[in-house]
This record gives sequence, structure tokens and C-alpha cells, in this order.
Amino acid sequence: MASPLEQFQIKPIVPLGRIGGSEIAFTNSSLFMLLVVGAIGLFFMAATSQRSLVPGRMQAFAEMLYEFVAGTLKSAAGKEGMQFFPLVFSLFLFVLTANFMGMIPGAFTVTSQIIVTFALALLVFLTVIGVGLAKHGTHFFGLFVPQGAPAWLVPFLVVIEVISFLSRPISLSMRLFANMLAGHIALKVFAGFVVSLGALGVGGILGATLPLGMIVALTALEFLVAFLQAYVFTILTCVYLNDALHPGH
Amino acid sequence: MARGMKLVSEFVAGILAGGVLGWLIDRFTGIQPFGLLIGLMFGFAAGLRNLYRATQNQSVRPPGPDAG
Repeated sequence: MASPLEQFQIKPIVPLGRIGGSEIAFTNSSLFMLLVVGAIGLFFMAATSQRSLVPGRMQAFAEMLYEFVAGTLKSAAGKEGMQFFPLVFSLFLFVLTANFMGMIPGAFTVTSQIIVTFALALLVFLTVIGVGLAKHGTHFFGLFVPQGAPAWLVPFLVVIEVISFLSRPISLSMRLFANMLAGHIALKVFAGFVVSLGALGVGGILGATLPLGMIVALTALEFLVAFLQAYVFTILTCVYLNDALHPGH
Repeated sequence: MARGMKLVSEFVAGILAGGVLGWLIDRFTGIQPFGLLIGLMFGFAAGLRNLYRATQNQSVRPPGPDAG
């Protein structure tokens, strides 16, 4: 029986040579990332090709996605936040589509690799620092100085705030990664129960209906988690961008 | 479960960040165990700070002083 972790294995498809000691290859992970981007691109090309005043089904869905992300961004980072709309919208669509594509049986879940989610989180983190420094200069570091604290506590609090700030990309990436990883492992483990119980004869087949019911419930839960985690990733991105735009709050 | 996962990741991320920072300080200054130990302490504090902040802003944070 297949191990529950086998689905996360990176398999090279087209080897591209070596850089330093590590092998560089076009892997199943890269393939699915391309598929995700391709699916998003195709969907939006199809959805926006009509551009009718009364939207069709596809166009209405695309507009709903736009309104949803724009609303989230505006409520978290204010009107000025809309200049980051392309970044936030791309992140949301990529994570959402990657999560949902991972729900197809046999598909590779891109967001179950911590390096992928960490790269996304690092992109957000560096954007926040870059924009904060460009907009506010050294005033941006006021983010780390809490107001109303006794003077002798301030050095400690600044260190704690800096570490808390550095931990943001870690928590942002770990949350998405851990949720996708745990969900997919749970699904695979229960599926394994069905197979091994089913091999035990009539009683086993009757017993196997229990984990089978569990898989149905877990699959529904996983669809919820897939959307929820994409949403959480997006809203936290917006909150962090808000810090870059308005430090000192 | 999603909420618990969020809070746990906030807390663990604080400790990880503090630990990594302390470990890096160790490597570059050669004060072997102390950087990591103190880093972990501060990481623990930062993790608690993260937790506190995460439970405070359940909805979107209103623009106002974030009293520390």
C-alpha cells in the first residue's frame, strides 16, 4: 500500500543539469505550478472575452472574485491599499487554485511544500519592508517601538517586536503549508484503512464503510480549508501591507 | 480547528524566529550557547505577543493605537 507521504514526493520530469551540488530539474511541482497559472490565465481570458454589460456566468464569477479581494484589501489597508491590488489578487488566485487543484485525486498539491509557501510569504514580507522604507524612510521603524511603555522596558520590547515582525513570514507560510499537509495526510490515511480493511473479507468490507464515510466528510472539510487558507493568507497580506502604508498605528 | 491552527502557528513562529536569530548570532560571534538561549527566551516572548495580537484582532483591526 502506498505511504501517506508519497504524494508529496518531488519527482524530476525533465532534468536540466546541476548547479553547485544540487540537481535542477523540471519537476512535478513545477508542472503543477504551471498548470495553476495556466488555469487562472485561461479562465480570466475566457471570462473577460465577452465584456458584456450584463455579465454571463463566467464573467459574473470573475467579477465576484475581483469584488471579494478588492473588498478585503480596502477594509484592511484602506483606499491606498488598492495600489497593491495586482499583488494581492495574484497571491489569492495562486494559492486558491493551487489548493483546489490539489484536491483532484492524483494531483500534486503545490502549497503542501513549505518552500513554495515560504517563498510567497517572503515576497509579501520583502514588499512590506520595501514599501515601508520607501514611503516612510526611517519612520517605518517606529513600528517596533510601542507607545506608552516605561523607558527601561523599551529596549526589551523593541527586541520582542522585531522578532515578532521576523516571525510573520514563518507563521504565514507555516499555516498554509501545515493545513494542506495535514489534510492530505489525513485523507490518505483513512483511504488506506478502507483498502486494508476491505481485504479482510465480508466483515472487513462492512467495517470499511466507517472510514469511507470519514473520507467523504474529510473531503468536504478539505474544500473548506482550501478556500479558508487562501483567504487567511490574503487577509494577513492585507494587514501586513497596512503596516507598511500606515506604520505607527 | 482552523482557529487553533492559526494561534499555534503564531506562537511557534515566534519561537522559531527567536531561535534562528539567536543561533545566527551564535554562529557569527562565537558565544556558543548563550545567543540561542537568549534568542529562544525572546522568541517565546515574541510568540506570546503574536498570540495576544492574534486574539485581539479577530475582525479587521481598526486604525488606532496598538497598546503594547
